[in-house]
Amino acid sequence: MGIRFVLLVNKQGQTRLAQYYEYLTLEERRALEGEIVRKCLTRTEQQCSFVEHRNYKVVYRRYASLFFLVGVDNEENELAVLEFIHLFVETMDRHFGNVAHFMLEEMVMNGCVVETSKSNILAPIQLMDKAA
Amino acid sequence: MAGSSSGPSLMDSLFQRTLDDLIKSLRSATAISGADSPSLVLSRAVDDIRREIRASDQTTKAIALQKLTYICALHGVDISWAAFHPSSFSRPLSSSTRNWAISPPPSLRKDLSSRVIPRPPSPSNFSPPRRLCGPRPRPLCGTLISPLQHPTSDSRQVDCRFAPILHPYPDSVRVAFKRLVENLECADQRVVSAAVGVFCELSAVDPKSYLPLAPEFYRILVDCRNNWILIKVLKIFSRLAPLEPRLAKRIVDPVCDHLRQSSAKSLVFECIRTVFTSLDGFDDAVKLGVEKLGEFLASEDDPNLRYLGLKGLSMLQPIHLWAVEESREIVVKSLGDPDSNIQREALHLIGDGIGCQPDRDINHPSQLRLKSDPEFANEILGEILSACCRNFYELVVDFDWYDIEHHLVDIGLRVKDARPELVRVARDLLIDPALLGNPFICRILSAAAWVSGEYVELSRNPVELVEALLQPRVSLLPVSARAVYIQSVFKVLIFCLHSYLEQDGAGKDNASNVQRAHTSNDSAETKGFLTDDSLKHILDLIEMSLNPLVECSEVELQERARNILGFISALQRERPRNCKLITVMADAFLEDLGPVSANAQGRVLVPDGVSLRDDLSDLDGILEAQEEDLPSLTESKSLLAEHRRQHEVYYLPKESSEAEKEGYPRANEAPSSVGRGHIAEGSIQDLIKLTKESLGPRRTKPRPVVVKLDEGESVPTASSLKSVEPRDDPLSGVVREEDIFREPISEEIKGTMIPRSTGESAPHSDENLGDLQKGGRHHRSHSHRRQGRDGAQSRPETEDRGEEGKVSHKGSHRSNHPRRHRRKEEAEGPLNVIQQAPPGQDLLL
Repeated sequence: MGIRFVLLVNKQGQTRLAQYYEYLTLEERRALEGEIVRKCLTRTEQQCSFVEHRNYKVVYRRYASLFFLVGVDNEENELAVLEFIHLFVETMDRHFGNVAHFMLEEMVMNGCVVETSKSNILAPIQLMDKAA
Repeated sequence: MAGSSSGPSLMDSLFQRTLDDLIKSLRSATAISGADSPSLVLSRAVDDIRREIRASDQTTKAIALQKLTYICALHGVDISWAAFHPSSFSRPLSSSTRNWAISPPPSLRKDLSSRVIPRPPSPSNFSPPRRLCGPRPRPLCGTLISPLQHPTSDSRQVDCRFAPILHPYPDSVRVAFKRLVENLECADQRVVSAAVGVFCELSAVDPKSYLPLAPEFYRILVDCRNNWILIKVLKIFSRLAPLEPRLAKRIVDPVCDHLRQSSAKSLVFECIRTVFTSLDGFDDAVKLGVEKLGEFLASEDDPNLRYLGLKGLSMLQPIHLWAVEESREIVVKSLGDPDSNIQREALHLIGDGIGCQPDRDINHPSQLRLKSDPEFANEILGEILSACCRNFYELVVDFDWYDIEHHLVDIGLRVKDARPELVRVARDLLIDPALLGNPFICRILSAAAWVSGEYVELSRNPVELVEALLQPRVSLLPVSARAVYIQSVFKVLIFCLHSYLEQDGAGKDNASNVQRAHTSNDSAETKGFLTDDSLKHILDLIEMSLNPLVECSEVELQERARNILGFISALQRERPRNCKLITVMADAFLEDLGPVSANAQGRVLVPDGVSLRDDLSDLDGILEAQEEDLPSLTESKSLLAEHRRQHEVYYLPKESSEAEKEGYPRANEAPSSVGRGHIAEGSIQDLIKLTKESLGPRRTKPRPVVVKLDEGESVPTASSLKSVEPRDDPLSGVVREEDIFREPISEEIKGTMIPRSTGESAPHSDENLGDLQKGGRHHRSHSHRRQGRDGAQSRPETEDRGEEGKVSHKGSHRSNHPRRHRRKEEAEGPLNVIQQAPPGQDLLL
């Protein structure tokens, strides 16, 4: 299934954005977020960005005070996912605002990364803004 | 409009709050309850949304939807009630619609007009789609598929969305298949990407059916420049290749090309993964992969790459061990990496590889970790033990396990938290009679016995332990191990007696004291409860098992057996003083022995007047000179030589002068008047000093005892290894005697021990009467002397007489005072001070 979820978490551990590509109940999600966030937040810079959790992996990266966590299957290529996170961040960087969610929508569908060109991702959003 | 209002205000109702406002108000809501609480804000927001979503204005609806999405994602509020409404959106591609289109509530994925794009299924959605799809799958699929026909770029999204439907409804595959395949050839990368993604998922489930598509994928593999697509295609191939060998052959080349040329590490890694998992029959490819992996491992600044390197190696593990061998160095170094993930990977790698080629070096880095990280140490121990357990303890090379045994002991010493676990593990090892027959594992067993004895207070069932330690099959073990066993029995006995005493003292009237924990496995408390019966049982068992050893020709065993038996008989003899005796013994064992560093010896000051020489080569000169006068010396030399040949392993290497510095306690001094001593050449070879601190840091080698070759001289010896003096110089330093048991040995025991060998014991044993040596638990101090072949039995003596006579006194000397008796046989017995590193003792330092 590729990507199972994408979370954006701040330094205090509060989830700022959560996108799940598999079905989990609210309690499960909360528990999951709690565990994973705790694991990732306590890691240092020198440690690698991959954390194994149960039967899948979490790839994370920290940008300023925000942690980007992506949960992927075991077969997934971790470096590619890291790339994806970076892409996401850069895309958002180009266009800040509340559209992080929309961008993610453009980039990932059904758990698969479908769009990797920043301009392509931003086009619809920019269109939206122009029209609005 | 945001802000904490206490009730709906006019403003609120007039203006719809946007998503921003909502987020701000949610974030600023901090109170637990009341107007400001998050839950209240949330429920009000949901109410607002319900209202707004029914509005006719598209914008309002859109914003409401946005908010709803946000809430659903972050707070999991149920929004299935909203399912219907978004579908009432009309077609035009306005920004607001687009808005909605991008973030429709999750429950929708039906209405597929070509413009309105449903959102991917998300959590709270899973049941609704099924609900919808259930009764009418075909038509629904039809609606899903029809957009596929639509030549817009949106088909990519449809493609992806397709996959979950395909799983439960495989029929739909056929319908959509053609279209999907066409998409593969589409000029638009995005479409291709989406299609490949779908196939990736599909092939995970059923690779066979997608084999015919291989040529398509091959084309993509070769032509495509988009790394993401390539990665997906590689995944597909890794599933297809095992099914069709010809396919494997064809793709090897392009894959290797990518491997060589690509600058994208992710692609490289994926290629490596593909090669290792499905193309491992192709040596060249594997070699190339390993090379690239080496680059990963070597990257200094990126722990991610190192981690992936190790993971990659582990993919190769079972078959291509040579690759792991090559990178062994790096793997070992990784054990010391600051990142725990990397360490764990390295450990697993090593653990897997250890069965084939154990390497002593591996254990050294793990020692580093042992010191700093108890949790990791546990993992190491677990890994080591599991490696032990593999193949029913089939071990390849002996010395490797020697090190592992060091580990067990070292961990016990250093890592307090690991002790209970160690004890438990040790118990398991000890109880199993099958292990006793295995020649390779004896050292582990002796480490296990040591651990059990040392930390007996942590064990659950001491009686069981005693039984395990004394089981008949133990006689299959080599002497060194058996010696440790016996010593452990001693410790356990002391512990039991002591606890018995304590519990007796605690409340004689207390009926609960009678509780026995013969077979109890529960709480630690129960172990303290020993009944009279169980104690008797232990004592009987000990007597029964050890009596035969009293006459054993192996000196260590004999000595220890006699120790214990003597102790037991002392207990029985001295009824009134029993308790005191036991208490004293228990105190002796109370002190935790800690590890001693290898440099400890170096830090001990050399007393004045003593000049230590590293190399005893000048002994030779002296010996030569004396040779003619000492026929006995020659004889002893030859005996020694012969003995050495036979027991090579127990001797220190001749050239090593390091041994002297290693953890040997300083022998005390006074080279006094031992009388004329001749140097037994052999005895000098071992530069072992007895520990000063009997109770202090253990692991110090027991002070070697040098025996003089005097004829008839009952002079004691001295102790330290000093330079050899000319024979007329009454230097006792030449001869040393060794101390075997530093354990507390009561007078009786000494008395029993002594007469045996030389028969001259009486005088000196008396001297020691009245002292109880509270030597430290030196179970490992097997420095006993090996007897010469023809039983030149210089009796090992325990000389210790704590000078201060204090029990747990670090400074107590075991000095051999000059007037100590040294007995020795004249003419014989070069005393070989064999210092035997009790398994695991010194090398760890």
